[in-house]
Amino acid sequence: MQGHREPVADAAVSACGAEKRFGRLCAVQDATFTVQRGEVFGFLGPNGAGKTTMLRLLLGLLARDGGRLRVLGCDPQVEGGALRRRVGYVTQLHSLYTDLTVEENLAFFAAAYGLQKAEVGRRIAEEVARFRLEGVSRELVGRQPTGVRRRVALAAALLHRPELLILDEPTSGMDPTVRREFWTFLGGLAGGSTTVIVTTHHLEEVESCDRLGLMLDGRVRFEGTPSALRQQFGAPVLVVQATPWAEAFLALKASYGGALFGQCIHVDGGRAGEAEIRATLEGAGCCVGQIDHRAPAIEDAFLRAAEHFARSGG
Amino acid sequence: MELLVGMEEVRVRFGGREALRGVSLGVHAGELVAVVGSDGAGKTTLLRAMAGLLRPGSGRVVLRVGKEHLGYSGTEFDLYGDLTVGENLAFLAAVRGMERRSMVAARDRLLALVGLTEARGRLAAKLSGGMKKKLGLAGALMHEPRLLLLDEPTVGVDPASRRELWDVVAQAHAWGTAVVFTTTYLDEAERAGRMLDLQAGVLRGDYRAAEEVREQGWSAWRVCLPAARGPVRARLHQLGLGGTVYLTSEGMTLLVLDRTEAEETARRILGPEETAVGRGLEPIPLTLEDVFVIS
Repeated sequence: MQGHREPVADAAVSACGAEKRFGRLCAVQDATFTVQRGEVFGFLGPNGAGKTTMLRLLLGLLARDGGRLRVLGCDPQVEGGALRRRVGYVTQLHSLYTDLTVEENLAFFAAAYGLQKAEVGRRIAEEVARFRLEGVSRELVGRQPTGVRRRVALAAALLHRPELLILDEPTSGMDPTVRREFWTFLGGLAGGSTTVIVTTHHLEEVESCDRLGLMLDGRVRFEGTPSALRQQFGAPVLVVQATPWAEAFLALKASYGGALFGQCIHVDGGRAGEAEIRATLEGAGCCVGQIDHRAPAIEDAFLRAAEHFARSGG
Repeated sequence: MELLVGMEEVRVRFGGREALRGVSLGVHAGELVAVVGSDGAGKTTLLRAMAGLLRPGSGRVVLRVGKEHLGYSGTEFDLYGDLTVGENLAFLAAVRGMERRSMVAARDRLLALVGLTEARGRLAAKLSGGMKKKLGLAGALMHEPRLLLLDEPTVGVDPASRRELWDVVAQAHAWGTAVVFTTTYLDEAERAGRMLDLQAGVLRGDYRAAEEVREQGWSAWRVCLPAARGPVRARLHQLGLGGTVYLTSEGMTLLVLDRTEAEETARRILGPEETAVGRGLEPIPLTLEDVFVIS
């Protein structure tokens, strides 16, 4: 999967062997992947895996130590300034000026992105309307709750109609309804000439991405769809209901491992089949209620992938 | 089932801010309860009030188990960084008045349970985030509590250690300990049999997994999507259906009141010419997140 390949023409991002070191620490190494135009691409991985460093390389905010990288056709190290006018970036901390009002922040970013004066007013009005910021446009950002700041940061990143929107852990702390609406919004934004790149360590969000880059220890270990990740590394799950549940759980856990969800026991389908589970439970004096089969969960697939790559080393 | 702790209209104020605004609940023997809320919702305050670590401004907390039957582990690492793993557990046992022989047995058993046997001689300050949480959990389980309170037990912990921590909690629960844990992650709440939804100091919901919403008639359906998802996403965005329709890697999930509504909604999104709708619609289980969004 790794190795050299030619930059993919017209990709939003094309990376080949990209590398970034900080002293002896290799934060990103041998990173090879492609992000297609119009897709929602997710960088998935634990904290410290190199996701944020990767984003900074894409934006030309850090100089890489090796490999090739093209973002919207440009080398970020050479044409960083011009590139950043075509890209919107929202960091985890939102990077807003707390001592300026919402409108002043937007005006500042509009100028930073090089918007023409004549357009600034119109664009700001559009984004304020889109993100329902009318009521707070004259308020200091520092006084606003997280939810409002997040909307302002997003509005600021979209003022210049970027071709590429990059979001670092955008949904931390969001409750599920807001998070689903946010992904629907991102989905509506992506497509055609707009590409979205997101980093996350929330495994369930990964479902909303078209394709993923799984990062472990600075390397892109897997590139593909969430389904492909599941199929390649996941094992089907057997959901077992039995009484008494506590004895059933302990009996299954001792033999095959198992996780408890409410009073249902999830067993790795790769370690035991239905017949074995029934036999174990009957042997423990339990009454088997139901055994359902479920497709591999993304979290399982991720953990198995991580174990696989840790074992294969290098 | 026996009531272990009850709260009645509990209010807690810190200076000008009300952290808990009239919370009432009861936790019974044999329960595994998740308290879900975003940052600042009042989860830590709730747990501390339950444990008797702070007194409410008004309302009552009735803790029916003695302190010797209560285990508590907070968000921050609250053990001694300059003691080893083994020494920390020995210290906790001594504080609880455990006599030496039973302490040694309990300590070894717990170290094995949480997977820290080989790290027993390591200074606690030198442990990784996941290992610190495991030590905290071991400490809270030393005296075989009847009620275990865990404040965000897996925050900042890598996925593999998270799994291992939940494993330990599940075992303790299967052995008879009632557990209340707080979390900002709904997928963790799936591990519980009961979920409390805390928002800005108010308990907005008390759900027993998916049973309640299913009783109200909700169901989840999934339909396969064409390979080109772009147009579907754009249409979803246009229709603004909130969290009741969303895409996953397996297709589009619809939260509706019956199959007919699922078909109609799918057709609205995919277009009338999408013939897969009728044939490809299958019922799927409701997730806890679905329950949260519907309620």
